[in-house]
Amino acid sequence: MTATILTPTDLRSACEAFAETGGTVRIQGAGTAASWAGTTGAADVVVDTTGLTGIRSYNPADMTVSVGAGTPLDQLQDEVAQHGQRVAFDAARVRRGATVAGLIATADSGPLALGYGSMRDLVIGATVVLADGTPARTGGHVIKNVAGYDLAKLMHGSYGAYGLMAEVVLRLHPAPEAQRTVALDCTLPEAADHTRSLLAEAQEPVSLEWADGTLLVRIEGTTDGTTARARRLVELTGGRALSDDEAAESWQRHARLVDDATVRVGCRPSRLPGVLGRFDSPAVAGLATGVATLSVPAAQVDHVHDAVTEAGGTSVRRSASGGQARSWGQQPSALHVLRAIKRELDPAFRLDAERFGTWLKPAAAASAEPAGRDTSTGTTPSRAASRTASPTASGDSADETAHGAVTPDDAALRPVARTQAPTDSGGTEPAGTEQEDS
Amino acid sequence: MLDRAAHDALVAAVGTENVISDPVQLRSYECDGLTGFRQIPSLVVLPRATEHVANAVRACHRHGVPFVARGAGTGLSGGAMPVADGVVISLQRMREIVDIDPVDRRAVLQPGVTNLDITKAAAAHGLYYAPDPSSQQVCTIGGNIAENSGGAHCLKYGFTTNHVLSMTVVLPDGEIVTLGGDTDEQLGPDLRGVVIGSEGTLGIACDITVRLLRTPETVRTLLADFPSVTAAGDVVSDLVAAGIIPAAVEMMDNLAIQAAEKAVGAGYTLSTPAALVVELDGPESECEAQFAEVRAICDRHGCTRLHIAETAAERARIWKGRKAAFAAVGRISPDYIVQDGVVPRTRLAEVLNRIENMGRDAGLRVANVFHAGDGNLHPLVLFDEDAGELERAEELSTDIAELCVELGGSLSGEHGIGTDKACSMPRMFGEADLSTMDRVRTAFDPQHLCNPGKLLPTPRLCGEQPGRYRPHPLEEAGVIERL
Repeated sequence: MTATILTPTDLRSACEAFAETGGTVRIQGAGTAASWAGTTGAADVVVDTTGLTGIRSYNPADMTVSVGAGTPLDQLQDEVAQHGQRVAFDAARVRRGATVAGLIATADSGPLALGYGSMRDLVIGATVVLADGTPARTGGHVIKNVAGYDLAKLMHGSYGAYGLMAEVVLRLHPAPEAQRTVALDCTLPEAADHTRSLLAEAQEPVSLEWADGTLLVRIEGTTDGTTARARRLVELTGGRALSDDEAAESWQRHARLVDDATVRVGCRPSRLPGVLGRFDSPAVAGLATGVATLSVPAAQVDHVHDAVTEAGGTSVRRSASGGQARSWGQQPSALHVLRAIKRELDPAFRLDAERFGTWLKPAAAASAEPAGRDTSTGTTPSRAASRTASPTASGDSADETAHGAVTPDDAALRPVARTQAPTDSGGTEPAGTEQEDS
Repeated sequence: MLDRAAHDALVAAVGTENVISDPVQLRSYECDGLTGFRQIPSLVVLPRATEHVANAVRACHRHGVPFVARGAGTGLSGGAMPVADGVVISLQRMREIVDIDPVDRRAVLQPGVTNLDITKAAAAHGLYYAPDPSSQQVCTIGGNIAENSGGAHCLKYGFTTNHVLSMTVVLPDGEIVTLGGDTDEQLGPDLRGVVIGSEGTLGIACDITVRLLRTPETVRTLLADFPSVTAAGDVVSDLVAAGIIPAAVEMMDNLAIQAAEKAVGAGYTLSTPAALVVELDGPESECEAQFAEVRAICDRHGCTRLHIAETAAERARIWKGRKAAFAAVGRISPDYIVQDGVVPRTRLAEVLNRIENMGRDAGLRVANVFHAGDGNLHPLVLFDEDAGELERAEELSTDIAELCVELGGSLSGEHGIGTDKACSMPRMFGEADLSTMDRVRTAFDPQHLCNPGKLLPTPRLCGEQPGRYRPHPLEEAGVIERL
């Protein structure tokens, strides 16, 4: 048995991909988060979203855009930049070709989250295809809208377990006239102190990140205004205003550190230095948002989960190397609602939800397995089944480490080269293990 | 009427002193801000703690009693209207500001805390809570969560959903869960975001943690008169094109201006066809440069009078007029209906023209007050009930909301669907969309006891519409396809 790979190109074919097939389904996008939150289960059908591309409607004066959900965000940014606009979102993997839906499905965010929030704050509408092929719309094309439930929120962080996003409507912002970054080399505790005094002033940084030894503060606005504010930030911190090239290089380095991270952490900003300080590993810390990434060795991932949980925070593994480490630290409190929604939207349990371990499984099945544990490691029977089913099943070790490498038959279906991520193995991975998007 | 066992269970849940059963007192809970829909509840309980709320909901769940959560009752869509033979759970006795944390910039609140009190408590630390619905002096944070409230400043700062970090929620079976967390990082799907704006149909928010923002360094406000609504609309378009996101852009037409001026004497020009209130905020260096640009754009579109607030008091006066506009309309008309719809910003002029024509056809006056920056209209349909105009007015009001959908917008920007617009939902959403929403509702509330009959259309409420297939208006508009 081989997994069927379907690459729909519009809403109709996306619905058909579900309505006209049977068995289990996995949704995959550009594969830039393939190893996040553990691994996935076996699937009879793989729905590849990377054919659902392109702008569906865009009226710059309304500052909203509707796009195929598989559109790489960096491509979309290029299009809207021509009109002086942008999607105010900059997660590290955007530059590796991550799709709009993939960024939503993984609840990813970047340094701009301090100023603009994450995708959940920018999505104003979506068309979702449910496991039985039903298309359901939520939200609309206007920024302000409270009609009906906001199902796009349900998709945010769902890792494809509740449905496939076929089309997404995003809110746009004007591209700022100028950006300035002030940098200061300092320790994490020093950076935390600076953060406090910076935030006490009304300088309105849009990003405030400690990137493993350097505090980076970014402001946006008019050319004159940002120059004046950058001067003030320099006074406050004793740091240095970077040139545009230096700033770009600093943020590139930031993104690389995030790419290399093994755990993503969220906890109260004031507790973040204490938690991160317990691990002698490269780290990136959003000292105002409380969101951080850590590059600990595999054996320490569970220790990070424990330390963060103790501090009341959340954590998720971002790397496949980690072997038996748990995918998540804390588990969500409303498990029975998450399960009930799964039952309502996908009663036949077609859509892969292995990344959530037992969370979405019916309570009886879930109680048989340790809660919050990643049960989809290479030793479980379901995993073995996946390998047998996969056309490129030889790459066993590769699928645990590769960052979205593309299989030959997979690549043939995709018009766009999407991933420049370094892959540890340099090898291919089974198509079926590569998804994260929905 | 509640049966004895259910009644006793509810009294036991919250304590006798926290129950209202006197028919006269019950009457004050019969409606919310949408006074046309009324229903006296069987019982009102006023819990003092989250555990009380859970006890009360568990009692309802066990005895199959429908319940409706209620904050200040300022909602404008009948979302807090009681259900026949049901219970109202009022959160008015849970009004404690539990914590203001100036370091992590957040506040922990009970649901009955008023919106404005959050900002008052945070002000000492140079912080504030951003969403500011017009009713902020009385409306509660719990109600804001139910409605995903916005306010004049939401164009720049977003809605309630963008500012709530976490909350404990009493689910419809009485279980207490925590949705959201200490940061925006998520453990799986964002249920916090699903519950916010669900109009009290998925549970009751109790212990609420909101983000606080640093008070902006500068705020600049101007009031500008224009020879026409179209000219004022062009100003808004040009602001957007210039890459300016004002903290607020509010537009009023002549009728609204007359009403507001009569009520509060805000210094508006009685004869002007249209006026804009534009507010910028941010670091001083940015704000001043952009403010100059705003003034230039106003001049370019034939601004007939430009008044810049020089003091905080003047600024407050300009806003007082705007925020009082709804109630003020009572001074120029015996009765009125407040409508709430959204159109894409670029269709503002078109929708205003159509509304004017529709009003003329119906023989009714329509005053317009709106959040121009995000295309959120608040047409006020003026009528005289004694002259038998109610039905015509309601029809016109509904037609206006549905017109917004036809133009690619929404039935509601901030007041919610509630009881008022549930029957219009099929104009905006197809059958599959609505049934998917209903599935989500069922997942939270399989017994349909939590604020039943609101938000989604029901045959009982809206009447069956049998008959052969007719294309959905959205199909005709090319927005959806029938697959």
